[in-house]
Amino acid sequence: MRIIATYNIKGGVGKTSAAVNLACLSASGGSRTLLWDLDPQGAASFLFRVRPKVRGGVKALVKGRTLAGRAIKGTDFDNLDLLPADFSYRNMDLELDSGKRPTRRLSGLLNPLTSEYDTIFVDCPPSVSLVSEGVLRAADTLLVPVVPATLSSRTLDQLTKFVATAKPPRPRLLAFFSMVDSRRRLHRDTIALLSASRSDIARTTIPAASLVEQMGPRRLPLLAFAPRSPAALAYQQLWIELQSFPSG
Amino acid sequence: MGKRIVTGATDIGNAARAMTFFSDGYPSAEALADAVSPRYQLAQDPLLTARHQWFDTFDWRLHRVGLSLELSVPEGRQQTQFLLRDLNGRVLQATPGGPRGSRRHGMAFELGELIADGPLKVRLAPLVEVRVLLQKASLSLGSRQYRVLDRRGKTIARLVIESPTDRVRNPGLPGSLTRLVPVRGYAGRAAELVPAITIQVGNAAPPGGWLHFALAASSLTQGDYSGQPKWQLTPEMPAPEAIQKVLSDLLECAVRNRPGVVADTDTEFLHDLRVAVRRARTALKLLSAGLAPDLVAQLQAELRWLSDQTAATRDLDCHLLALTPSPAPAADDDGTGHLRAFLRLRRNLAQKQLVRELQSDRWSNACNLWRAVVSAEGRVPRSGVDSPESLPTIAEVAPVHVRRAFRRARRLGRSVTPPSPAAELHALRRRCKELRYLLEFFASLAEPRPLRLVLNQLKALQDTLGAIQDTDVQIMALQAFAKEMEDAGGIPFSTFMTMGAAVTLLEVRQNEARAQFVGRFVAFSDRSTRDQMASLFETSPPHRLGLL
Ligand SMILES: Nc1ncnc2c1ncn2[C@@H]1O[C@H](COP(=O)(O)OP(=O)(O)O)[C@@H](O)[C@H]1O
Ligand SMILES: [Mg+2]
Repeated sequence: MRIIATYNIKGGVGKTSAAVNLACLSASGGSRTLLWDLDPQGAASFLFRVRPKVRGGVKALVKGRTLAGRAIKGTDFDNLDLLPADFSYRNMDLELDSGKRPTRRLSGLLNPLTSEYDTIFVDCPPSVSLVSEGVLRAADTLLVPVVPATLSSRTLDQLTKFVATAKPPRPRLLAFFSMVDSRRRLHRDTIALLSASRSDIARTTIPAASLVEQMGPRRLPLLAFAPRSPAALAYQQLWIELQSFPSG
Repeated sequence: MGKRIVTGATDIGNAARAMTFFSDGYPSAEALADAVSPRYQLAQDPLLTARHQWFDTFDWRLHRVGLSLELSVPEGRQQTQFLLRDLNGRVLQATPGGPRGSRRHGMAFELGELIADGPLKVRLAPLVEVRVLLQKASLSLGSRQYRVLDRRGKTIARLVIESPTDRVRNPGLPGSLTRLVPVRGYAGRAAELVPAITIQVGNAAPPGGWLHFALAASSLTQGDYSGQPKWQLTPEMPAPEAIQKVLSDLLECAVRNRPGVVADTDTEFLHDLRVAVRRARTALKLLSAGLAPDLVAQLQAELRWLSDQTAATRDLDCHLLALTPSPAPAADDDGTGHLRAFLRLRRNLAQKQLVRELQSDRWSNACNLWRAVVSAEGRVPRSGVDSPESLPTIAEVAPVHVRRAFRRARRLGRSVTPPSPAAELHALRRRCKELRYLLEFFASLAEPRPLRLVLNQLKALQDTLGAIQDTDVQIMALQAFAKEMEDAGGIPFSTFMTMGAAVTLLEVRQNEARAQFVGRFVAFSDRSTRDQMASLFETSPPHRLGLL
């Protein structure tokens, strides 16, 4: 069983797109896969056409009154289930804080599911909070999309520090470049520079592609409507790389 | 990524059952659209044709724990697939692979030849053990899937319609089976569709799906295997001699199963041993005319002792077996772990005691007594003038006993109503067992066709009675176990929750069985069964017609 969290302090960098497509790839490879849409915005739930609703909201979930297993919805894809978002997830920090051992609670929620699934993806909201600390504790791999820019290096340094100072068990961090436009000099240079200086950057990059943006209006994973497109192939490549990446 | 017909793990852990409906025809797309409208729309997937083969061990070990193993070989180049289903058709595990083009019947495979290493094999290995898997049935089915979409375009359930591609060659099969498979998390919404689908498509199909129908068409029945002898009695045999033959085969069966019980390799050895003893007791009770009464009485006492000694282990085996088919791999987290451990401990103690008894002098003495009863010594001594011809033949005696047992069962059954206390139903079950044993002893003397029809009705009734009594026993046992475990302490609350849930489930099953009872009993005792019963031994033995 492996838990992979897509995470970045920033929004709009491709966390959800990666989580959704990688989860599809995992499932189509025969691995029993769950995607937890932890973002109150519910982008992943939206893409799978599942109502972003958990009975009793985050309170019931954190207090154990609603079992995570009961809230799970099957997606339209074999082997792929979704634990939907709920708008009340925005209060998750408060709920966690009011309980005992707040950073352990998320792992605790996932524990009963570990025999049912081979791979669990967690799509995180962009923040630094108790929630993200809990995710660090639960996840084996922290998958971090980075848009190439002058400040990418600083963002990555901050994240590395955040992981390093978290209470163990800690995940292994794997960053990948997202929304890459290889015609832009800045992108090429940033990728070359960071890849040379860091060992935690995936070789695969995900190109900026309008087909990825179309996932929203179509409400489908890219793999479902353009499986042979360059972006889909890039996600496949990333999935292969991720599978051989040692987990934390 | 196109949706394939069979969902894999997405079905796992789904508390809702897939529902199957059967009809003589083929439901039209319009009828199905009507059934789900206006809340839902249907999206149609392409038609697929596949050959389906079902595998089980010779003694139906998978079926006995509520599973069926199906190999689906699609036409064209698509991947073959093994599907492990429960009796409701729900796919518990799906694994690619398996041989293509093995159409021959009666093929036997070692588990390892058939299924590659992986979770499916791990799951099957302890069930199949050293036995080979035989192809029990095969059918070619066309299959079409409709996805039931809500307003968001989200699939909430799938309707899978399967029909035999060659119905001319399989006239006994239904025109189609329609399976409603809820997507996880939408079971409630899918269940709301059931009434409309029933109206548009047809009634709920019996459990077991196509395998059930395929076997019915081939006059085999699921789980129809017995480790017991099949008797070949000749009509002219003097009755006491024939009964001795029956008893001697049963002795042989009991003796043959003892080492397996002692070695404790398979719960079936004990089961077979117990059945042999029970049959022998029935034979002694009903058919001992002409056998030495004092020996018979002694043997009866010894067999009662043997039944008593073997009961505890068998009961605990049954409780443990009832826990086994839990389809979710999460079984150890579901609260049954403590109960299982508790039962195992008990069972091991009972087994130790049983082994001691089976190795004791009393067992040897019982066997010697049994041997005496089936030897010349066991027959009532006759004066010299008696020639064998003056004894009644088994062909004369058998119909009298069978009809009497049938009459008794009917009379008792008429006074039983669904809410009757368990004891009354239990008495009826015993009567039915007696009738069943008699029919089995005398099968070679009866007309095959009416025998099959009578047995079908009888088995159906026995299944219902068995379900009523077994659930009753299990409920009481669970309650007793709960009490003991509570007194012993140290058991997490979740275990009691699980046991409570199990009791509720058993009560539901019992009520279903009780509701089924009246229909089953009517079918068993109605005119047509009575007619079959009357024609069971119609042709008189030749010597009675003066031919000899
Ligand atoms: N590789 C890409 N090329 C073009 N657009 C992208 C790509 N990845 C993501 N997007 C778009 O960017 C927006 C934010 O992406 P998303 O995956 O939701 O990021 P996050 O989860 O980090 O907020 C979405 O509209 C998405 O369609
Ligand atoms: Mg997102």
